[in-house]
Amino acid sequence: MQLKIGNIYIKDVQFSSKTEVKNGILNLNKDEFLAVAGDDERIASVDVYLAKPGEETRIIPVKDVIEPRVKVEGDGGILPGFMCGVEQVGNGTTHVLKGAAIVTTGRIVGFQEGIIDMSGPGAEYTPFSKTYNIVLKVEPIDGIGQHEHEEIVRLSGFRAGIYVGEAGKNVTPDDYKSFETKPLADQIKEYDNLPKVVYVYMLQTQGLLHDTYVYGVDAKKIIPTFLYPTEVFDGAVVSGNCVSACDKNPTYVHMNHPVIEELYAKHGKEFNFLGCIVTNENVTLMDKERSSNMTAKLVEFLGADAVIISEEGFGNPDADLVMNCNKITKKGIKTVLITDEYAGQDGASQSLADSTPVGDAVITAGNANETITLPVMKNVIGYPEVAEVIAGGFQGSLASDGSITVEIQAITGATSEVGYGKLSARTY
Amino acid sequence: MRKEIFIVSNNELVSNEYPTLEVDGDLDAVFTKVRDLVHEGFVILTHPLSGSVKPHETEFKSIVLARGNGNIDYSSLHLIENAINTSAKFSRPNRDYGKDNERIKNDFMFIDLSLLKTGIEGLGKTLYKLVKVDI
Repeated sequence: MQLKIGNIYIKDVQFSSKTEVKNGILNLNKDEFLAVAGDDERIASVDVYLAKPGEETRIIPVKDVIEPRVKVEGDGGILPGFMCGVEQVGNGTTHVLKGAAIVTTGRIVGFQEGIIDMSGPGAEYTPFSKTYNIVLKVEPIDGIGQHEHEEIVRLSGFRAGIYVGEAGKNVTPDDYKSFETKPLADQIKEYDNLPKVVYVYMLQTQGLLHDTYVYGVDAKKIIPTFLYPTEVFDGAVVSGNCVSACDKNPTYVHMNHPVIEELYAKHGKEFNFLGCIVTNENVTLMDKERSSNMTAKLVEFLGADAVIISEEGFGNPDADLVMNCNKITKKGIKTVLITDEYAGQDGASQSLADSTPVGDAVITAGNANETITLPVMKNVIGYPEVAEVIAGGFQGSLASDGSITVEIQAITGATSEVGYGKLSARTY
Repeated sequence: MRKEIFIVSNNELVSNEYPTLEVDGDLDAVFTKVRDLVHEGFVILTHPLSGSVKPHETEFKSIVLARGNGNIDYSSLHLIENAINTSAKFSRPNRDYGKDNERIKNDFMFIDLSLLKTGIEGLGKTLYKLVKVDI
């Protein structure tokens, strides 16, 4: 499976009469964009705003972020199972409008989740302060329940992502990156002197606002399975979750998966990267046992010498992380874990809700309880009226001058457990 | 023979829909009740820290338990003790949502119910039978 990613670097975005990319500027026909994004009889209204790096703008609450991509050669399309059929994706050529992002906002539940500040101290904590954001605000018709509301906003963002991505179809990319993973037997032979590494890719799958989809399937209902890593770059894994936005992976992050990109960068040099196993993080202990058993079996079957395991979320999934670590280690396979911490506002408490003595190689993505004061912004896109009621907010969060003091768990991507952020810690 | 399971909850959306051992109190009261039951030999079937809505935000929690074999289940004890310790880290409750109070409380109850449903559906009907218990 071979995929060529062609990056078209976007230097600005503006409304225009025609949607196209010209000299690195993304021009957007607002009416056409809104017609596509709002194409759902359950939607009452849609609106679009632009938010650019450095502006005094806050987006709240963020539901998802999607990168505009388009398939120009090869099987299937982008976002399989949602925006195209279910052909196997991850081969051929995909163009990316690098630097642009669709951000969705919607008031699905009363409490607020996910902040992106385009400037100021909060901007340092989210990768999406550096992208040119096309912010989509979606209002459903009356009488829509929370599950359906979540789906409406999610699908609207996907349609918008595909529409904008199409603008890159006939544009010559500024650069290309190629990725290849061969069928297992051939891949093992190619670098048979190097240690074999598999990536165990844990997905948040607990229920409403806590779901992830693989090829359109609700991932809480999957048995752990194998993915060629390039499938992820075409949107095979998408987000339906945003609660405690710091350590949830928006669709954009799945499409730009830093662990997979890094494994490819060292593939054939330091180790032989065989591929990914996607697994879930369910609510019942029975599901956890089944999925961790299946994951450990698959890792063993693939012949891995070592695995990287990343978690998505905190608390309940700590149990899945520990089960995966224990069961894979028991098979004589080395593990490295990636997680974040909830170590209290002073950082002094135990970081995870579970632990294991064999989890002896762990990377942290930061302490989500750390607090930050976010100054007043000139523009607020979304639903600012209940800013205090956010994950990571607490009594007195909202000061009289309008600034809010929150734990960084409220900021989209602040402690990304796949490393799409800046926070970590080192010991020497 | 199916094993009898039951729900411990302080969420009225849950007790309206399922047979429930109701707890009159907040999230910590549910955790304490479950810990006591584990000491009496009951076994936890759904993770006490389900969901990413943090203990300092929501006060609603539902947990599924089963009758054990008469001995203390140390995995369950480990789970609930860790959940109690975790909850203690979030020490500044924000449960006054002003004019949106009722709607937001309802949203928290709805999410707890949704996660519980996911759990109940995940427990095969061949193995378990949901019952009302009086303990």
